[in-house]
Amino acid sequence: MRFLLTTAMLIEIYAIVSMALNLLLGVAGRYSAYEAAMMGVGAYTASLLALNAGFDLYTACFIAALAAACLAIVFQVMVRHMDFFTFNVSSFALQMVLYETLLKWRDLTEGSVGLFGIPRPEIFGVSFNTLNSYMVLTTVSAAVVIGFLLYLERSQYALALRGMRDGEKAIESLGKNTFLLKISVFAIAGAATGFAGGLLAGLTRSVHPSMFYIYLSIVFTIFVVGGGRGNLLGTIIAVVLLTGVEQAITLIPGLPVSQIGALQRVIYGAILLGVVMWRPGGLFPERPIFKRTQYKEIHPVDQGLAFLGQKKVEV
Amino acid sequence: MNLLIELAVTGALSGVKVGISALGFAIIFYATKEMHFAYGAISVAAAYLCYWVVLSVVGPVGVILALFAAFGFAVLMSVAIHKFVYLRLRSVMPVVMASLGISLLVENIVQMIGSPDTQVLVYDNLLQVVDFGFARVRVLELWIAALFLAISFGLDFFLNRTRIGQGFAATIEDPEMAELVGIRTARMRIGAYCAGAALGTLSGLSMLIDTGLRPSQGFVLLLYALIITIMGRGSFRAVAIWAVLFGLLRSVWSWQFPTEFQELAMFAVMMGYLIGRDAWDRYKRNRLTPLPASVSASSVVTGGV
Amino acid sequence: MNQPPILQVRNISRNFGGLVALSNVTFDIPRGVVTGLIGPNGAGKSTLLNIMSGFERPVRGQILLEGQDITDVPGYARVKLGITRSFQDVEIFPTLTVLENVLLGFQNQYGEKLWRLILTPGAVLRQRREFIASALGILKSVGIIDDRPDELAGNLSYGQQKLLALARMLPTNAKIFMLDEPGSGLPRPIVAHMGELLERVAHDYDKSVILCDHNMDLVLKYSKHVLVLHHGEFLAGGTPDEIRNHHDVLRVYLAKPAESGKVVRMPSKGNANA
Repeated sequence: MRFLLTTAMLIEIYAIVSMALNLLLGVAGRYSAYEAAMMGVGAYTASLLALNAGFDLYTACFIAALAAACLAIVFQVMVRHMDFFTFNVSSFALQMVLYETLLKWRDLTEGSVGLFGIPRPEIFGVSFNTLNSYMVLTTVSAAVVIGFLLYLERSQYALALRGMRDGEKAIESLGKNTFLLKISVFAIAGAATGFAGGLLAGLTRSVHPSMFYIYLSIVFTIFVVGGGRGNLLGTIIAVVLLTGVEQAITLIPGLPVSQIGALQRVIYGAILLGVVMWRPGGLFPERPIFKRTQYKEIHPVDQGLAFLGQKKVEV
Repeated sequence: MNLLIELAVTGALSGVKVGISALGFAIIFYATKEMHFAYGAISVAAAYLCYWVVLSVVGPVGVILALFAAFGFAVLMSVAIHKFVYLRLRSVMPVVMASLGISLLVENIVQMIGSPDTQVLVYDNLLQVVDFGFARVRVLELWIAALFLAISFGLDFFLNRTRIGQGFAATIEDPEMAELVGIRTARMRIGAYCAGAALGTLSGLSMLIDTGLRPSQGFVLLLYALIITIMGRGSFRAVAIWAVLFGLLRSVWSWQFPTEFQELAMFAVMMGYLIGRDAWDRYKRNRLTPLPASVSASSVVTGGV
Repeated sequence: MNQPPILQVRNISRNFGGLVALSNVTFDIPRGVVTGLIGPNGAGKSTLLNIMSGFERPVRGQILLEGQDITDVPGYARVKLGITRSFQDVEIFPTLTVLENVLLGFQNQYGEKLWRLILTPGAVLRQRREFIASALGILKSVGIIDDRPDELAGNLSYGQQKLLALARMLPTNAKIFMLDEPGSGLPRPIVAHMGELLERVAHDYDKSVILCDHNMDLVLKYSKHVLVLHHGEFLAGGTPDEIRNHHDVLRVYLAKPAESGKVVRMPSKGNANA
């Protein structure tokens, strides 16, 4: 039962991060290789605040979200003009810098020892210490964040992001500020990821740099690509399915422990390669945001060009 | 001071080891613009193959067979991936994704066949230490350094003095133009993969004998090669120099600063350099060049309503 | 035509290293008509259009919109001020539907502002429905592409895509619509359809259109005023008839040599009667 609850919470937390990544990768078309490290920033920020500064973990999660968003904004401002390859590589470099910071800055993060004994939240006197109660908190929080991301996905904001993905000059010729779009989407994704990191810290009650290594970034990418780039619902399903597969592998009889991770990664690699080659849209390909058929009752305006103003009356 | 020199020598040597791998990746990337993330994993897998063959077939026959197997595997795999995966996918993102997937596959299949522990091939004569007075170096490392120099200068000579090399250089600089003047760019690309795979295998083999091999080393190796390649911006000389420079910097860092921050400092410097270089490029471009003096003032013609 | 010009281009110069693209170009864009911009390849038309729309910066010179200096205003910000443009390569959004393409043209959309999405979702939805209705109306007025609003723009034919690019500009309600080679590669009927639409937009709604194209039929037929560029310099300006018979233009662009002995006397370039 513990196992199921923990797995369910892990799925919720990974779903948040993966959907945030899909917002970046699928909707806005910008790759991000540092999501795992960003999650680590969130997790460590929340943990340190809870352990050393007396903050309640839940409050710390929000502060962690803010910190992650700020970090994302600063980084994106610095790389905004880079071409695709340089941008990609800088993204990887940031992941490694953050990871190394978590691992080596022992005064702050206890390095490879990690942080232990992270206290679960207590809000208005209600303690969420037990696994069951923490499950409730996590599920409600995840539902709000995931709900917001899904709502955002069906908005004109997301449409502008897709437009930017398809043609940056063209979207600018329609008046949209692409700089602001990029910064805002990375800030949102960063905040969601940081928040999820905080939730993770509360779940496992300990954090360790190895939880946020670059492999995890690749796994998130697989969730996005496999579930469907640009389709956030598909990402949720991909997280559920793949986490299920991952756990199923651990149950295979006779498989030595050292090989479990390897087999999981083989499956992931195969899925990534397979999807890209044979079903590039993913399990659930992207759908249009606004369809005429969904707004059937709307009548087209009679004087179509009336939008341009009053027709000149000929004298 | 002695410590500094020793650190410098060690650092340069470690840079050389990365340099061989980086040059291989650069050859592939500059010629094809394909982000071949599977490069590291294939290099390591080839080295493992060599190791297994050497263990199975004893004596010099085994060694020769092993070398054939290692290089053959790497070259065949790389060219096959280029032809059947990357060329089919065409656009950049899918290629990145596919190569990440292949990287995961290869690396972990190797781990499943072998074991996650470090494997080393020991050759005593290569591990003997030579004492230069200011530094102590292993014979193997001298060989690797010599190899690196040979490859760097050989590449330079190839690109500048041979016809095929010049065709290759043209393919890197402007593939469409090269195609127009009759250079078989498709073949150049396949050649690039062969050469790159060979260098990668060399790098893997040197690791096998030197520090030992672990399946997970492929990805970090690749990351360094990738970053240095992007920093090199089309110049193999730059790639070679950056590789050695980084080895030096990394090692000399511990002369004054805590050793454990080496990696952090290196990645931070790389990131800082990329960001700084990008900002400088933009600044230069935006400082618009003044008009040449020859533009005459008499060409002002007004058209009005 | 006694109204002040809507756009004034003053002494615009632009070079790329040693190559001079534009040299001291000065002219006015009249209000409420279609103005054509022609010139041989390499004349600098695209560069000029980029500078007028804010996608490139001049080395020297100014652009004035209704008297206001907008030279330093970046491209995306000029849309709010009233300038929008299309691009030579089609540049519609291929993975978005026809309706969605047009929808992106509207300005001040509540649904793009995060604070509105969170705090006033009702207003967002209401405005969105209004915009969709307007978008459908615009599609109907443009014609040809209005029957498949949910079709992915990438699946349309080339001509339909160029029409969509045009339709997409209309919701911006700009004062000046700049079109870069809108008719290139299109069959005559669609070119005519486009020209008529542009005339309607300019004439009926008092909008200014700048039509930059190689297609002489399109430009000379639908423009009221024509500007000619050559080797980065302003060559001539006038009505289509004047330009069609202009000595310098003939010599340089239309390659009809003046017949020997017959020199065509032109009204001087400064007196173009709109």
